[in-house]
Amino acid sequence: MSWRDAFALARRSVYRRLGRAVLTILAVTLAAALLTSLLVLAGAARTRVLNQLSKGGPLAGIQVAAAAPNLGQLDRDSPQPGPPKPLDDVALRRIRALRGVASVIAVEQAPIVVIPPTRIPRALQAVASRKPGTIQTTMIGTELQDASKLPISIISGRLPAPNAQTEVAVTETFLQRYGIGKRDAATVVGMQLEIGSPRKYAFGNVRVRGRWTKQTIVGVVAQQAANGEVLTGASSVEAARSWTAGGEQIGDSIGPDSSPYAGLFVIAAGLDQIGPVRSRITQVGYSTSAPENLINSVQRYLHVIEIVLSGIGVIALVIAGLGITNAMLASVRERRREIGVLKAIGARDRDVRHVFLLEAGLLGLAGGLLGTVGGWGIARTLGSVVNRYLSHQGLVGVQVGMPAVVALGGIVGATVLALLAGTVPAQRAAGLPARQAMGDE
Amino acid sequence: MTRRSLCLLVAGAVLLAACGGGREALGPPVAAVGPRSVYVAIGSDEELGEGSANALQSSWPQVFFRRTLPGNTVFVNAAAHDATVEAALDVQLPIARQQRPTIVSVVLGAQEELAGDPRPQFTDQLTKLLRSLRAIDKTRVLVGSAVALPSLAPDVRTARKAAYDAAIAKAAAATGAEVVPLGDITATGDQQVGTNGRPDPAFPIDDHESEAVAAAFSKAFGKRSTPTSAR
Amino acid sequence: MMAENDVAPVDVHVRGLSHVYRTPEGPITVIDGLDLDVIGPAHVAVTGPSGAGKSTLLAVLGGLDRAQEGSITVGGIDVTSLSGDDLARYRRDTVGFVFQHYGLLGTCTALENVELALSFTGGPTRLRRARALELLDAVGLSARASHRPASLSGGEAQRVAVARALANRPRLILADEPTGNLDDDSTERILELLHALPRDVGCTLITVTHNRAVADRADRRLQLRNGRLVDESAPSRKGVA
Repeated sequence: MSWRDAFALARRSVYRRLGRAVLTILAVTLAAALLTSLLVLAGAARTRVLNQLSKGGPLAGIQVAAAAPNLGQLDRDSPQPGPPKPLDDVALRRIRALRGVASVIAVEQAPIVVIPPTRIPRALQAVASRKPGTIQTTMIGTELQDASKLPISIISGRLPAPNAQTEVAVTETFLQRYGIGKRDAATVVGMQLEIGSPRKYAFGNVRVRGRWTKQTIVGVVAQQAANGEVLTGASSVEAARSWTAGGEQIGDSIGPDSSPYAGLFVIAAGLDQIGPVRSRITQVGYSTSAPENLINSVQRYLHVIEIVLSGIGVIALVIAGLGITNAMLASVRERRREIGVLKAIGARDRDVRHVFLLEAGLLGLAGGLLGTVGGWGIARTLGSVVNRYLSHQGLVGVQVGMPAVVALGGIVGATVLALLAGTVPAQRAAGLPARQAMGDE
Repeated sequence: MTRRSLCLLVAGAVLLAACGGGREALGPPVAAVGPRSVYVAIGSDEELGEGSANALQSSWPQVFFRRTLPGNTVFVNAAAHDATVEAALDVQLPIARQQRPTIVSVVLGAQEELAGDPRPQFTDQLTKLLRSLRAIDKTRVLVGSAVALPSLAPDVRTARKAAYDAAIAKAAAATGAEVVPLGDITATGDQQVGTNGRPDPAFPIDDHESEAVAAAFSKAFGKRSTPTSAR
Repeated sequence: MMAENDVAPVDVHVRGLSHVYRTPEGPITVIDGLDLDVIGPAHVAVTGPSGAGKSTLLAVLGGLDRAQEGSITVGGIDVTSLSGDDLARYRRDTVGFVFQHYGLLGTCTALENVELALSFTGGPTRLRRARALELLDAVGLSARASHRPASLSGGEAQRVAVARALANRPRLILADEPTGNLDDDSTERILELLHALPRDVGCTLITVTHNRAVADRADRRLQLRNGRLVDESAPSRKGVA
């Protein structure tokens, strides 16, 4: 008997006992839906947690400092860097060419003096516990169109436009100068700062000549791209650096930095490439840091959660599988004469086995398909409930996506489980004596 | 078990999602990008805020930049202590040229005024300076008039001021620079509070007088400066 | 009715066949050293009271059950030596069964039921369908080809069963109480149909029945008594042992 004929016979059997088939499929559907939705939501939560760990930047991000590696701390996520070492275009090119490197983003920085406005916005006034005078700090600049690849997450407002000359974002450290925290970050957005780049010159004592711009705070960010309270586009920082570099090197408090880049942000081709790429950058001669060990640890914990959730889903599927076994055994009991007749007219044991296995597989496939679609729906519904809550709390929502492997796993898993569940009934059917055709018990 | 695990899952997802939460808002609109105006201040102690307790914030060019000039202006304070016109030609003119300013303020002459009546070189050098500045990019040059120096004897003070005013007016007229009258401003700043430990600036002005100078330049620039309380 | 005489005649030889059922109350011997020789084509009827072992004899002859003792040769095939796929092939190619309960699959139409028997031999679907239609036509049921067993009368269902039994051109037809569930008219029609098979098709037909009238239609009538066969019929042209 061909598989096609066996399939036709199995399909007819399912239709004949439609009520039982529907109930069996429903059990598989519910189990598959549970498994799928658990995995989808676990995946969404996993992405969210890892995103938080990487501060919004890519997980496979490695920070390269303008310093030599500290050989005693190579295995640490955030080692103390060795002595300063200029990060120039040659180093940038060498690192960019390393195997396993997906992209490299240069981070520049410049020393600045900030004159905060003498009169602060009313909202800030209401929450600020102090008022800063002139601030000496560092301005960080990068190609802001690549900001999504950097460990920068927006707390309030937005990032400066990549080509804007008069927009900056500030960090939480800046907020602390007013004695406020993240919750009140929005109160500084819109405030205008005067930012000056110092240039040293000697006139008896050391003097500083400023190049000033007016900058509007458009956002507050949490960032780990480099040390500094003010973040803006690369061109603004280049102009500031260039002004400062035109001065005289006197002392070491404020002056032209010998390193063209404050640091690099290297994105490895994958999580598994972080370690090898860090080693290669160390060989080039620079200190690196990456949340490699942290992410590995968290991934292990998340993996345990996924195993537990999968376990719950699999238990449900196994229960559904036992339901299939039970339904199929009942079917075998009811169809002893039919099985006997099949054998009497020439069916081999394996033909009978195939028919019953296909019948179980059909139930599993239908349940798996419906369950996967249902699970996707459940996950989306739960996701939207969670997102409503999060948005009510002023937090960014989770992205509920259905990975192809989960969808495929739901369908194939349910089908395979049903086939396994159908093995015993199919074997029992195949082993029934042909004599059953005579109607004897 | 199913319902229990779903409840746990929702709680877990909420917890995980909430644990690092970033607030997200649209933020202010993106600023329009246009050609930047560049302002260079050429001058001496008063441009560096000598006489003010907070020189960096209160120097009059900083106030002028803050109040009057467009938001996308780059401001470079090229002023130097005890600067004469001759010194400005040497040190400050190259800085100005490098910045390619669209507007320059020049307040010089106090050192020369302390020393005596204007010599012909003063007018020539000032004319050269103003012409050079004007030549950069048809740059608008605002040149401050002479001031009555408090350290001069009252009988000398007025005549000396008038002589320098004339010299400055002549140089301005020859170069197309605009004269900003500063005659009503009296330098009463604390001579002991000069920046960087210099106790004897020629023209020490306090915060109030800085405001007045900035207002005079704002007026000349074509835009009235707003009162201090507006900031 | 069956126009073509399309199979080679088959002889059946049974020697010393015994079959014992083990029950909680003790062993029951239903067949006890039975000998039988049938020279085909022939129509042989086996009668006997209920529980005499008629159906067991048929099951053993048709390979539905294994002989516990003795030997069975059908058309030169030693049935007692067959097992597994060989036995299935024997049932498929050599034997055609007609059951009292018809043995039709309720989920299949009359045509599909006949086709089902052909599905075990493989071959193109088109040819299988043509053969099934031909057989239904031969039993006068081509008009009911698309009907399911539930919508057929008992006589019609049994005719479909006969058509299915003939599907693989068997040389031995085994009919177990083929008219047991039928009314008189249907019985007559089925008997005519079955009785004509040895003549028209060339096969050997062994019918098990407790109905005297049915047995009388056979060329030869045997009665199962104390586990052995007693020939109750006068010697005739066919089926002489």
